[in-house]
Amino acid sequence: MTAASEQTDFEAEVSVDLVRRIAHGDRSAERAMIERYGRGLLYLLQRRTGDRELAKDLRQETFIIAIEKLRASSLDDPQRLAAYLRGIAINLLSAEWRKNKRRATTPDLDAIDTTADGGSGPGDNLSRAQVAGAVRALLEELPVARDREVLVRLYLQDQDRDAICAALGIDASHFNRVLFRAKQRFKALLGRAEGRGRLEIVR
Amino acid sequence: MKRESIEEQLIVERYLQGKLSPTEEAAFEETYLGDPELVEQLELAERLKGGLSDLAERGELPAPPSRRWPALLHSPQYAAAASVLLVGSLIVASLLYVENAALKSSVPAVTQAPPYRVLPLYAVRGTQGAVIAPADDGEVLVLLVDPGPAEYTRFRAAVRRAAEPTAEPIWVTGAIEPGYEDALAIGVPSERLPPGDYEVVIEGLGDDETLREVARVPFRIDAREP
Repeated sequence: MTAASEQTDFEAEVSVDLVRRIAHGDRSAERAMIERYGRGLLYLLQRRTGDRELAKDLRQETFIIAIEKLRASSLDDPQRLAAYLRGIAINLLSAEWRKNKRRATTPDLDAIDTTADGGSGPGDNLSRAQVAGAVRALLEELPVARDREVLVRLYLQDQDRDAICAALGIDASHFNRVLFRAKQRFKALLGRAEGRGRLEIVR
Repeated sequence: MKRESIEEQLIVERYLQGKLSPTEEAAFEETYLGDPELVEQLELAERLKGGLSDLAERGELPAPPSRRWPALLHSPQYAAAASVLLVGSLIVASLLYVENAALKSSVPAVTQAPPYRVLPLYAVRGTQGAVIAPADDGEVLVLLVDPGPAEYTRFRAAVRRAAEPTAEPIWVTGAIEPGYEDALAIGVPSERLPPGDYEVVIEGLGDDETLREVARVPFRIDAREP
């Protein structure tokens, strides 16, 4: 399996369009790129660094470098903008850049954070205790002990689906149903805790 | 990566477990970079994992399903109890046999219920639905359908021919409620389901008696082999 072969057509179209427009000096395309990839980039960097503030810094650097490059010239493969951004981010991680090394003449740095953090997900504004409370409520709502055990084995013990199904005597379809419902219910519980009410996952 | 394969292969969970190959990891990261919904799923799974971890640290996780039964089955006490139960059952069974024989001669025979077959129809993304062997005459097919994540407690189900979505349904239930495994059980006489493609349309029944479609599950009755 290669990344290119698995990329959706829609993502490829978006990539090509953004790269072309940025190369033509379209500032709105630069904002669109930041808005589209900002949250995912922050997640990737935070997961690898464990430091949200450092991840934000590196995200800014990533977009700075990408925008400067794309303004000057197009990509060899404009369909793979996400791969390009990921590559920059990982290289920055490797080089361990710091804030005082950012270049002076750059796009509006504050605007990058503001634009990239426009979206948010359920639980973003909850404390750790509140999240644990939502998990407790979720477990209490699962009437079958075996279904609770599915979640514990998957998320706490890092077991794979086949091992869990074999241990608990369930089939893959039951496993998938339990997992899907649990995640959807957990999302609703987080939303309720945040005062948003019930949310729906688009299936 | 296609969204369907991400869900089917549990890519989110395997990514969090660090079990993806370098190629898979790169492909998945490139995918979620441009997909805020996928990032949301990752964050949700991480919060669920973190919450479970916190509960485990505090000793607040519910006890796992009982695993005491295998050991209990090998105990002498169990063997003795099982023996007593077996002998007692044989005695009761023999008494009941004698009484049943007496009853048979004095009461008319009970009409036998029609044979039925229980068929789960859980939809699998990317497939055309379950394929069911042709039914025998007089058989009742009990279709188990998952109404999915819905806020309703009562539902109505209609079975239609897939090629005629606007025609009258061939079978409609009244208000039904989920039962075993949160599934709806829809009994359809086999003569209503000759070989072909069908779909079950599930509608949620609101408190004001309005109906709203919540799920649509395809299935096929296979043709008999010549």
